[in-house]
Amino acid sequence: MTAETDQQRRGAADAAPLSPRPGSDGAGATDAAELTRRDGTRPEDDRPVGHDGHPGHGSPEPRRRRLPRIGVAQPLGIGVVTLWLSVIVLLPLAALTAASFGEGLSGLWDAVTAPSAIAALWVTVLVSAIVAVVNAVLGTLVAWVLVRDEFPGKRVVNALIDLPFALPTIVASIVLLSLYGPNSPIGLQLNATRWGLVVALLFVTLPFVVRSVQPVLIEADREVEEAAASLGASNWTTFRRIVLPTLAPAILGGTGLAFARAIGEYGSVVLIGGDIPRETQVASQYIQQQIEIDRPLNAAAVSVALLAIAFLTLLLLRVLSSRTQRREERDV
Amino acid sequence: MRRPAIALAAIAVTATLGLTACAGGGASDTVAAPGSDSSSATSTINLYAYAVPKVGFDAVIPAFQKTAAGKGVQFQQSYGASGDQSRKVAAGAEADFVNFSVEPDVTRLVDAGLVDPSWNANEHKGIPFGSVVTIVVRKGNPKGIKDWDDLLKPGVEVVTPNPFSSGSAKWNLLAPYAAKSNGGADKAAGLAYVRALVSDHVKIQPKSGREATEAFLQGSGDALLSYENEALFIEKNGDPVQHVTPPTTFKIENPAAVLKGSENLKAATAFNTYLYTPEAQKLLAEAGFRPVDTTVAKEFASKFPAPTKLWTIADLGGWKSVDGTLFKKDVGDIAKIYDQATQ
Amino acid sequence: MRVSRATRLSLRLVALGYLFVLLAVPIGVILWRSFSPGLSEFIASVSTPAARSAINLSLLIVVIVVPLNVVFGIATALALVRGRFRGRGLLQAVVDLPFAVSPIVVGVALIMLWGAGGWFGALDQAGLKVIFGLPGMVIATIFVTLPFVVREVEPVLHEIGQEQEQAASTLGANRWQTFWRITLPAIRWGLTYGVVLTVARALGEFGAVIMVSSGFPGVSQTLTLLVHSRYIDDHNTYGAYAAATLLMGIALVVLLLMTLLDRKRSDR
Repeated sequence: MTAETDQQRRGAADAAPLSPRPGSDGAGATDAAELTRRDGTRPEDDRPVGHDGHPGHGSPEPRRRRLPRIGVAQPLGIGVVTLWLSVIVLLPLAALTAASFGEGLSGLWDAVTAPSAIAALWVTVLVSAIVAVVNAVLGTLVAWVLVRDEFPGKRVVNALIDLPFALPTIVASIVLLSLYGPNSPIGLQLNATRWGLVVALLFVTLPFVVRSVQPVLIEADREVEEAAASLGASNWTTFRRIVLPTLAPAILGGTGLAFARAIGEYGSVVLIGGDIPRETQVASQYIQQQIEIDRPLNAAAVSVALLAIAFLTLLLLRVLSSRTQRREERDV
Repeated sequence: MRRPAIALAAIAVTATLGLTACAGGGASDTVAAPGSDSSSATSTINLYAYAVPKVGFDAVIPAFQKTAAGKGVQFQQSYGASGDQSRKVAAGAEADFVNFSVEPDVTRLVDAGLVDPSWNANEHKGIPFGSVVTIVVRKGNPKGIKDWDDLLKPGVEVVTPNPFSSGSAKWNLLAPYAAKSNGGADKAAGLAYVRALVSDHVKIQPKSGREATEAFLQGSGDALLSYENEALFIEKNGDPVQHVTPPTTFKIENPAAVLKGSENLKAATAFNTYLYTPEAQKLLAEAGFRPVDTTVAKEFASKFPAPTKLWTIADLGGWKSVDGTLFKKDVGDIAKIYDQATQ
Repeated sequence: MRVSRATRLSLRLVALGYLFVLLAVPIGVILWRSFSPGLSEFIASVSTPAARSAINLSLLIVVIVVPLNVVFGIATALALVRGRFRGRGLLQAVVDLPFAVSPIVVGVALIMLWGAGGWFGALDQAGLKVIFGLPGMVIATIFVTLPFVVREVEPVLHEIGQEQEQAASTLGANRWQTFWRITLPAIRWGLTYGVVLTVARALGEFGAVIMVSSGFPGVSQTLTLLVHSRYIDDHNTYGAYAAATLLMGIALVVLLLMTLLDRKRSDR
């Protein structure tokens, strides 16, 4: 598809105001879908369609055609949305980024590559990566049990999952310190260790993977799994070949968010972490410290580095999961 | 299937009602909020202070409101980490009166043009109260800690906040530094002590004095370096700790100032003046702070035993010089020790 | 998958064990500490004037933030799902950013933008106090809760497709009618869940809000800030636990209501 026709189609689509034009839009919409996919923008784009075109349904189906927009998603709507996001999210971050360039690019580079800054970033990424992996495995497991298993009190457990969002992080910190601190009633001493950080971050990020896997698991087609089982596939094979590929985008998405939240987390790690530089000092504590010693430029610079890591991770996971999705379709 | 749903609904409704009912109670908070009865107030002072002197202000403010100058004056009080509070005011928070842990936090406001450079021109140099650096130990002092050298005994773990983020940490480190260096004369000896302390005995580095206290009370470490008033405060709270003030220690001076652009300049100035009156000084002393008024100080001499030698920040050359040579990140000597200790 | 009973039980055991250690034990500790001195003590502690005004302020912020998030969240989700425009991928990433930004950074960034010396500092000088006032706290809360509604509504929008909307439109319904009668009912559950998450997070947000609040008890102290100030400034650990329990209680009520709705959904 050449850029020109693409442009034309997009132009046409943008011009299409209210009335549906099914005839002309089928092709254009597919192209748009393809485009999105190539950009690797968003795994969730494909989520609902994913299990439609799943193996077991026979021949690979053409993906569901996208139809023209109706309702708010008009140029005006998009404009308003963009403006809203800009004022709330982008402008403050832009102000911050601009400040981090206050001493020029070299100032930014020096601030980020200062040994203590590197150390803090490293601890952050390492701990967050562990947290992300644990979340991916146990979060999926929890989601599976909450969807496929039946036991008394399941709904209550389900409701409790979101509680870490509501608990002020300072409280989480106090409680974790009293549980895993020097006076630990269970004799587990995680105070001022990286494992203490891991536990705190696991607590805070618990909902992400569970909540993103759950809906997909509910929607997932169980007939396919049963078919595989009746064809003699073991549970493990069925899980690996059928369930996991369906869940992959959701798991990756949730893990990405958990990772992103973990690298930015501050409140819950303050007390349990001990804030020991090069040991347990995470980047947000380092940022806080830079603000304390009146070096807002350094703080801004490390913040920007943190943002970049989060942004790249989210982007990478998108590309990865859209690739998984594509491979899955190719295999059919 | 329907019954559990109804049960859940009942729980939810009951809980909501219960919570709403909670909101209707009547007791008064120790937080001492300026209630809705402030309609008759003539003026309201916005007070920004660091967390520790809250107990002092809780005693002084009601007394001030009973005086002629303080009649009808209401207070809105904001407490937090000293540096945070100072930065908030510098960034535009509407304050009338400020009280910080260390002088540089006031200097920041002077630089921002918010506080008159002559704020410390009064008899007590803008310091309405102070304290000394002390060592808090577990009840019964199991490690037998009495002086600075005892902290360097093998196996003793010391809790003190990080000096890059905490004002109280600076006071804490200056005390043994001044004691060992004989007031800064023998700089090397002072730094050697700080190096030994920081590299081998300080493990966790809480962000603020209060967090350090909390970590200590939760079981971390054998000794906590802190303000004397903080030690008195947690002892009064019934926590199983006691404090030992070393014979040679350091005078903590906590500055207070009035903002020159204050809308309630008259009331704020009156309040600032009131802090130095014997009446207010007594209340502060009862709350655990060392009074600056000499007659009141004599009266409370038994509560606040005078150390053999008390060094002051002026002995070391003032905050400007101390911050530059000792604490400035990457340059200051103690800052470097902190960097090396954690490598 | 037909999982054997043994596998099923062991998986259940692992999942519940994990949740027990990670979630139930800490929350149990908080509840124990709040209620062990007795219910009347608890009620006294959370009904002081400062606590009451903190509850009111927290709820006020929720009441302001939720409608804004609903309106703009749905609009954003529609734009992301239905819209085809340049920079859509970028918009997708921007929506997730608030999850990744450290609350402290949010505070600093907002002060740099809206504060007295910031880009919009003129507003401040003109007397419109954003930072260190209610608007600042609202903006900070919107920032951290922005992704929830979008991310919950978006997949549902995908799933329902557009056939029904098209049909409605063919039958002569106008844009708003289509939206109100077709789209909104369809996304209701996703929206509900998004709102629940928004409420939970809005109640619990601390780091960003403390930096932009003047922190006066009874005036500009949310329930979360009250927890912090009781704990750190007052050394009133019990009061902090009590206020935290109240906060959890409010969140739990919201979550339970959601569970009820969820049940309705699965009953359909």
